[in-house]
Amino acid sequence: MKSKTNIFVLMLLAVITCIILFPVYTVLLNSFKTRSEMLVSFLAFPKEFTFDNYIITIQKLKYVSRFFNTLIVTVLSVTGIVFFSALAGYKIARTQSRLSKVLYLLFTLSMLIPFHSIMISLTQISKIVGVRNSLWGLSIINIGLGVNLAIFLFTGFSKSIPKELEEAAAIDGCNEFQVFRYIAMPLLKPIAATVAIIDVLWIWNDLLLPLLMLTSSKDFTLVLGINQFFGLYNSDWTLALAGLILTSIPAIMFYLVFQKYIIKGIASGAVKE
Amino acid sequence: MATVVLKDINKIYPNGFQAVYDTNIEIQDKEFVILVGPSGCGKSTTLRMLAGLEEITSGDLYIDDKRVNDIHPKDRDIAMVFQNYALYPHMTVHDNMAFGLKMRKTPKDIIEKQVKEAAQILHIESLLDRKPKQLSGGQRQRVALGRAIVRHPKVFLFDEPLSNLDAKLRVTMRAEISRLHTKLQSTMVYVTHDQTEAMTMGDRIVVMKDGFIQQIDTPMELYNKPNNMFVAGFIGTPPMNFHPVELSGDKLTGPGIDLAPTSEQLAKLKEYGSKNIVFGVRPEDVEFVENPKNWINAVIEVVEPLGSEIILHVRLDSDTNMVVKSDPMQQFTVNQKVKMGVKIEKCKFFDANDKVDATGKSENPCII
Repeated sequence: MKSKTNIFVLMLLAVITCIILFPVYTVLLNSFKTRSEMLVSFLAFPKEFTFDNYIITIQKLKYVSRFFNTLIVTVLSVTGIVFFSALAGYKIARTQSRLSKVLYLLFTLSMLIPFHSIMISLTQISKIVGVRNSLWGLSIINIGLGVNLAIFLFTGFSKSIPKELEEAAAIDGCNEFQVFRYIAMPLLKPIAATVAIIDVLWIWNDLLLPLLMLTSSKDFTLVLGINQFFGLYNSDWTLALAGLILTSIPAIMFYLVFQKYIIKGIASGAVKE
Repeated sequence: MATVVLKDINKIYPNGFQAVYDTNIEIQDKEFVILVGPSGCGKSTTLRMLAGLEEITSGDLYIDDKRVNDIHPKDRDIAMVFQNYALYPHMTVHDNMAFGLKMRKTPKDIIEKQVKEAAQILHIESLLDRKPKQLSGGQRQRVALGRAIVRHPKVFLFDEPLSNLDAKLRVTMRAEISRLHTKLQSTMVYVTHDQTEAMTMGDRIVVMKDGFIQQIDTPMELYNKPNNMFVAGFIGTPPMNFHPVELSGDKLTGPGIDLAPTSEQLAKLKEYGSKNIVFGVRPEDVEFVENPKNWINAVIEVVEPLGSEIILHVRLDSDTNMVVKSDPMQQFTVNQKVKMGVKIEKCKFFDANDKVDATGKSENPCII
């Protein structure tokens, strides 16, 4: 009975995996075709593998400079999100006051607001406060948009850290910040890694916010660069597909290295040990 | 080393619950004081106030004549061993022990020397590179002790440090801590709910109940001269047996009980005036002899031979139970009727009425 269930589950997973991987497969496949070949047979295997799309894309996309633009935005944003959320989540978890409960509620409720409903006002405000058209400005807005989920996760995880550890550290000579720095933060590593992975994938691949915030071509991120392949009258699909593969590789590599922390982080925070 | 003085200490939580009432304790330099009592008696709260982990609502706390109420735990020069060890899981044993010294910016060579010394004392030199999760319960407790002793603090605080260990290891560690006290000659305050730990380790014991101190005394004084029924019942294993009796003439009687108090006891009981008395007898103060002068009729219900002694659970005529000890050479059977002799001079007598004072502290004072 159990083995039958297992086979069914495995088959179901195989089908779901195929559905998820199919678009990736078509992107990868067509990135090696010529434009005419792609238009003739979208699903067929390429008659001849060509790397021309990749070579042209790297040049047209200004891959190196935009890679670094994306890297700067991602590193600044993720560092900010992890740092501020860890501090806030830990403090909220450790403070038994009405204010902390209200703040926690505000942070978690803000997750329910769709980005599209605030994007116009956000663009206007960012213009007024002078953070538009800069990588650091985009990073600040990313931090603002990313802390809510991160605080939610950090708060839950912080509750699983035994209070005695902090008390022992206080007796050992730590002030409140040192307790956080030397005891809490190392123990929050699994959830910090989880938050970092989720946010790296989001920020690295984000199109809409950079599109709204960055107008100067020299500041463009990779995804924004790929978007330029789609003009009003002409779309360079094969270059765009090669660009997508080139953009995805760093994010996929990052995910593969750190994915074990996602499971560890979320599972550890779920149950109070 | 240091003296510790708690003066009129009270602890009231924000929800209005008062955990500790007017606590006064003077702990001498190098003394090993045990705070003992049942769950919720305020012993851990008192210790945590001493550590600075809990705010003192009112009263004064002095360490070495310096008022430390508002001083941060790190500046009180104390070390604490927690019930669940509270070892930093991401650090090795060495780093756990060195952490307090590092935080105090102690030079590296001195840190190494002191960690090595502490590790030698506790026989944990081979564990220094391990993480806490790779240690057994006993080893973790040793590391927790090591982390405390490495700093040479003025006062050691222990919060039920042996509660998570199995019975056999607890006995070993008990002796280990006592040896440590002898070796370090430092002031130690130790919280436990286990009266055996209290009796075997402490120079003095503070017995607490419902936030009130019931008695502060040496182990033997507590055993021989309890202030009230609670202390008498709490100290000693198996605990003291209590039975209501009535003073009629020169005798104390009850169903199946006939006791002739000594002249000194009788004088005190008569002077006290109350006829309703609770008589207390320890399990070891009952004897099985021919024609005892003071006796209690009972039926044996359970026989527990322990090798060195026999524990008997008996039922009295009054339908109440008693636990008594006997010589291992004597033979007993279940349902056997016995006339137990009582060593009357060792018995205690308490007021049967709860005397409740103004603060709500309840007690059955010991008459004699």
